[in-house]
Amino acid sequence: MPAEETQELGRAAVASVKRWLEATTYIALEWDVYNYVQYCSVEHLGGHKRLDLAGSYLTGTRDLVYVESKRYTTAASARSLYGQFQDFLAVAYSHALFQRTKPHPQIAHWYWVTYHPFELTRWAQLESPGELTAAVTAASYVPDDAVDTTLIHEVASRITVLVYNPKMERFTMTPQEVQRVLGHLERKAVGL
Amino acid sequence: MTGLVERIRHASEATLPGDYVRDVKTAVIEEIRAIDATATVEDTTYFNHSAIPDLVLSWADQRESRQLFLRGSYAGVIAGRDVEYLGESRPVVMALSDERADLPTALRPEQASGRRAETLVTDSSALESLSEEPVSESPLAGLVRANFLRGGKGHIDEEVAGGLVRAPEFGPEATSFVDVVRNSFNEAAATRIERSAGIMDLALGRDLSELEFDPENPTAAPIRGVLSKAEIATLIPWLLRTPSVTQEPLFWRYVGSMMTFKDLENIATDVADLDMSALIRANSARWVAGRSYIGVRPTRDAADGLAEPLVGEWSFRGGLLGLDVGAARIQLATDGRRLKGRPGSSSARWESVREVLSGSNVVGAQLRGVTKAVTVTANAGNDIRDDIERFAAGDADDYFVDEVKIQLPATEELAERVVTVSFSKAFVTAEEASLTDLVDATTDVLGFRELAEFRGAALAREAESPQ
Repeated sequence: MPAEETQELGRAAVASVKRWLEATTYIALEWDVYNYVQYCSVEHLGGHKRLDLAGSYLTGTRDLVYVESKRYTTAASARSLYGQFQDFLAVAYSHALFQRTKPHPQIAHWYWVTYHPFELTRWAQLESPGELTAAVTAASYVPDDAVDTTLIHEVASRITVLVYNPKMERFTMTPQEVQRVLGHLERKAVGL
Repeated sequence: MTGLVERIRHASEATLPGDYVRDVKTAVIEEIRAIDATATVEDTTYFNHSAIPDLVLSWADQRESRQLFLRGSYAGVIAGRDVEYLGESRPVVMALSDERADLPTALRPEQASGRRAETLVTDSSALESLSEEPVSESPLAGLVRANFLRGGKGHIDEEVAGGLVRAPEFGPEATSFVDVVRNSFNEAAATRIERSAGIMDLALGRDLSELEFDPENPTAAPIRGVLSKAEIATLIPWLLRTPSVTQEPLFWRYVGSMMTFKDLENIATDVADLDMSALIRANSARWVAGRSYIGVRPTRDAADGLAEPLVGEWSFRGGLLGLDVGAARIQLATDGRRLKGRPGSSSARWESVREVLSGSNVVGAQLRGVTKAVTVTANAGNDIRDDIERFAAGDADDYFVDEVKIQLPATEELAERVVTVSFSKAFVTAEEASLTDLVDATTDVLGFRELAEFRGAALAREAESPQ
């Protein structure tokens, strides 16, 4: 498949995930890597990492949200996902460590949205502190003494792995419905 | 001023996403206001959301508002399948990047069904090209601009937008232009633009006979209806400024039948100092207002040595329609907020106004003597001049008239109505009277002293046609 076409498919997949997550009425993902790479790039101890989508929760303290979308349709291609997922976990932790150095640290929420399940033997553990610790330990840019159990637990609680089937859009609120519902829910905190 | 495209590019240098959103929205909102001053723009505080618009545009004279979704690029519009997902509300989807792109056929609004076909997909370059200095003097260009966000549809990029604002003034090109308009605007907007093209055509010399009402074929009249604020703001100043526009009362009555005097007041600054006489005289019997006032005519620089005419032209000055008459200026307004009276003006003696009221149906009066003040009111609209006469003659007190109420008979356009002439405040008021009523009462009754020589001059009416 030509690279351009692959990119178009990736773009459409990311847009579909964005619609789906925003239709929950809890999340707004203003930024996508194709148009706003500057706001989808997170700074962490190992440098910068680009995520597919960035935004925030609409409620509460409006925590940052980063989304990585993986559009694989076969088990074979999904096999390579685990390495990427470990990197994603390490970046999430490294980002939290980096945020700790700031006056107002923001510990983000991280969504890994895959079109195909992977690493089924570990599937139930993918969001666990143990999995995160393993990923962080393997990352060269995180010093050994920086693996903090409390922070590991905090970040692990903010990792979410979702399997996305585009057909789910059929059972998702339409934009018109989201508009109507959001008007009543008043999710967005006033003044933020 | 820096253009929209450049402002958006500059905004993307912001480190903080919030600053980017603020700068982009400010730039877009300012651009919208430059294109269509009649639009009210609401910021939803969302940005690039898949379901919630960034801005909502509304218009005082239109029930339905229009949602505007900002997208990073055309590629984003395509990836998000925005026409398919959002088209039901016939929104505007605007790509911020000036990168040109063709929409895949399947994703073009014109390929969509129902309301989706009325979605407008556009970009920052197109919007910027619309707000630039007009290439064409034609009011059609102004209407294209004013209707773009309100009624634009399909994919309108910079090239298409540029073609639309180079609207021709009139002639066969204007006719083909209307076809282009039909493809780029929804029914309501296209009708507005087409109607204006029709009015311009008539104004510049087309046969006016179609304006004559034909009882045999009552539906044959040209497009009528109510002119929108945008049409009034673009078309009326052009009609008044263009020397070759016909002076035929028939034409000006047709234009006036689609608007009100209040509409005209609302564009007072756009038509300041232009000669409004043809428009006013043709519509003075039907257009209604609430106040008329006699002020002192402002002295003008007479350096050129030319004597000013005794009766000038109807014109707007300081936001008020008026006519210079001798040493005075008659001013008209729909309400007292625009035109206040002049407290301390002198009341009139009954003996002085008795004569000017001959022939009028006086239904009320306020008289003030040295020791008493009396209000006389008629029951059931009977004339009370004789009662006032008896009262004023039979009392030792010396009475002045503060105000009189005159009932006017029903006309083709208006039912019976009462005008109140206030001598003490130097104005005439009415709940709803025609411009003719107000001006006649001002000239013939209120101005019996300063405008005596213009009595019966019917200053607001059309000259009798020489038949």
